[in-house]
Amino acid sequence: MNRRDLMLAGLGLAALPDLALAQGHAHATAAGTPVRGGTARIVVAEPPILTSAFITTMNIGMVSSKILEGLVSYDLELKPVPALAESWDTAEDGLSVTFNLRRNVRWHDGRPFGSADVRFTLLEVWKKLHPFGRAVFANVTAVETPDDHTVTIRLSAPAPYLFNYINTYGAQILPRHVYEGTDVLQNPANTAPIGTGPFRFKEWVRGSHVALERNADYWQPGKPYLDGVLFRFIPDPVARTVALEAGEIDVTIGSLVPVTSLRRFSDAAKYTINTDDGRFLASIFLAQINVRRPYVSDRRVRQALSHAIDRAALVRLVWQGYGKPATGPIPSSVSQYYARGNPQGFDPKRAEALLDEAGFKRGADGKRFRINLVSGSGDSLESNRAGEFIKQSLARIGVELELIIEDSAAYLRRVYTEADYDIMTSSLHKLPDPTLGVQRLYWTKNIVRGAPWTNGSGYSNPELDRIMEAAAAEGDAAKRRALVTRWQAIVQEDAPILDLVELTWTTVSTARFRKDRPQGDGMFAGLEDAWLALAR
Amino acid sequence: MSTRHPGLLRRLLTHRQGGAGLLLLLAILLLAAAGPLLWPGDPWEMAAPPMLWPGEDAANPLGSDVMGRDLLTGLVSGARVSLMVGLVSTLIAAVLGTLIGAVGGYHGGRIDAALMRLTELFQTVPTFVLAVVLVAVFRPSVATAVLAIGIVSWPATARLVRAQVLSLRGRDFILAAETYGMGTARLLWTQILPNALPPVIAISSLTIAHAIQTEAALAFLGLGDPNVMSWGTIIGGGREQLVEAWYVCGLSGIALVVTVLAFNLLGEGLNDCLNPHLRSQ
Repeated sequence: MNRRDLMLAGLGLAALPDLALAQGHAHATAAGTPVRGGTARIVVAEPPILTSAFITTMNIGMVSSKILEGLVSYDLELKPVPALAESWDTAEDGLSVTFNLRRNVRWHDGRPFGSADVRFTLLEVWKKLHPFGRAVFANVTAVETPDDHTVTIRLSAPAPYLFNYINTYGAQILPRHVYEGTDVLQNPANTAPIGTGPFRFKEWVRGSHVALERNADYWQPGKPYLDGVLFRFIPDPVARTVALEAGEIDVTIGSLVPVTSLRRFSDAAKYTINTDDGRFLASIFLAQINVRRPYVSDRRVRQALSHAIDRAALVRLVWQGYGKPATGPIPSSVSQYYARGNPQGFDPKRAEALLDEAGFKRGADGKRFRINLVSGSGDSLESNRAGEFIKQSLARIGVELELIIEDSAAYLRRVYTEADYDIMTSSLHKLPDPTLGVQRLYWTKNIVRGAPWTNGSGYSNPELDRIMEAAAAEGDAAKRRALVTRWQAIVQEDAPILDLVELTWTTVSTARFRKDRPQGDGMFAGLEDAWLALAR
Repeated sequence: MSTRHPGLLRRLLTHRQGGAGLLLLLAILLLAAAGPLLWPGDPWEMAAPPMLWPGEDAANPLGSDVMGRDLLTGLVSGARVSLMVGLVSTLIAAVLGTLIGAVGGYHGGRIDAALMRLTELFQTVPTFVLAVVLVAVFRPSVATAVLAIGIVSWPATARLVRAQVLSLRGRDFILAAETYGMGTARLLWTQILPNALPPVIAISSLTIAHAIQTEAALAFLGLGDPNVMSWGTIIGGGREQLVEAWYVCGLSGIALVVTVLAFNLLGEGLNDCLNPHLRSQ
């Protein structure tokens, strides 16, 4: 039993491995003509259920996305690509959005798919039960279905971010005839899903595998190419790395191969390392500072901490180059809103000057003060190593850091309920729109005691609140961009959160495994375009 | 000790296993004590190129780990941590075990029954699992590791001491002391314990070996003190690079094996040398 398993078994928690990528990596574009047949063997962490419509757990999405679909998927620029919606249109005033649905789509049980399914899932599942969906669809006042293939959403205020969260991970469409009138969370179809996707659910042997078989009735004629997909659960990172090398599996998604082992797969003739599949999540490894605590309540101290950390070295040493130094709250992959440059970048001299200025001079032992850094034991190995790196970095400017690793439940309680910490580290998904993934971390109204992944730093700035709220309801792209730029400048200056590393999610596959269409949300791809080249 | 048993050290040195254990242990102690002077520096400092092989660079004679931390400095730091954890937790176990065993053995009856049921309770739970639970419940740190290991390690000592006390309990000199009106505490402390202790010393040596292993296993599982570099920490951190850089796990593993072996040999030797029946042979 390996270390993470033991922790998981003992605590009953799901790991959130957070990993890496280098932008320069070759992309897995498929050369040659697709071949029909074969079963792709993919390693994932075993999901608790197989439906993503009301839960954000990533490994659920990785499996369920082959069975159930969303309205769109995303390309590498994170622009929507038609899936179950063929086209869409936003009204001039931004107060209504119409989706034209694909015709001749059938659920795996033979019933036709239509606008009633979308309306039901939006109102009864996404808006009511999905943790992010509640915010995404908050402005929805009504959903109209003029015919079987048209859905019109009425909004109380423009919601441009809506288009960033309607793929199979964010807004998975469930069959109304299976779910209506039942307890959605307890519906048996959650573990044996009936979808519209390229693959049908076949069996789930707990602790071993989930098997899917080809959906011959899929709406894309001739696809999928594969006869089936077999998801295998190999909890030990060393074991799955060896299994991939031995050719027992074809693909690992979600950075399941440790970054330190990736060099074993660097031979492009034998393997492909895809670093684009997780762009959609826009995950950042960050250090959040509890602004209610002594020392760090002083903005100059927080800026000094930011100046003390060499993010480029962090990426190189801990993430082995699979990642990018983060500059601000929005990662560079969200190019529409990304602002270059960080006034609080690496500058140890400036850090020392700021601490002197704040009145925390070095003592006789060379130390200024002692604070702690709390992280979760369910986090990745990289996350723990990053804590060690930060400790060394702060020691150089005279700040002593005590590292505390808590089990996941204690970690969440300590950070979000008791606020008993100075710094915490975590890997958070910023998502392609700041209103979805970033606002929650800074908004005063989101200081919610006991609620994980809210504004846990306790930072409150009425001016920023107004800007963020205005950005959420702004329909004009240029005006919205200006608001977000201002927003970034404020949080960089006040530094309640130090964004450190833009994480790269890696998909490692044997060269046999091909996928025709590059996707920014490839972790949640349907794989109708995937095929296995014949062995040479 | 050598004053009370003048011949012990000599006997130990002439004992094949005990002598070897003692010498090995002295070498390790010397390394732990002098190491920081010979190879100064912070074991956490990420100064070297990552995953440097032993011998590749004179500045890092034993190479570096995946984050460019010098392995030699780490191993020396680990030696201090391991020895400290082993000794302190064993001290806790010895004190607890001796106290419980002596009180139970001397009083007998209900007190003994109650104490022995408690001992059995601890003996039936796998010690490592209990240690993991204890450390996980409290926050992982050197202090909690020491306490947890101490708490799971005392039952064997308690059993042993109780058996010793039971056999001494009926001896004439004890009865004589009792007749003279010596108080229970004084009797236990001055008459019984000194005679019951030799096997405790022997078993403690084995307990130390086990404690060191347990600490390493805890650190390997990520339940070590994140601020302290122990051998388990190094092994746990190097595990994923086992194929590319086996020496990270290998070297700290060897250090662990040698130390545990030293204590086992010493325990063996002490047992033979302190056992009156074997001595007379």
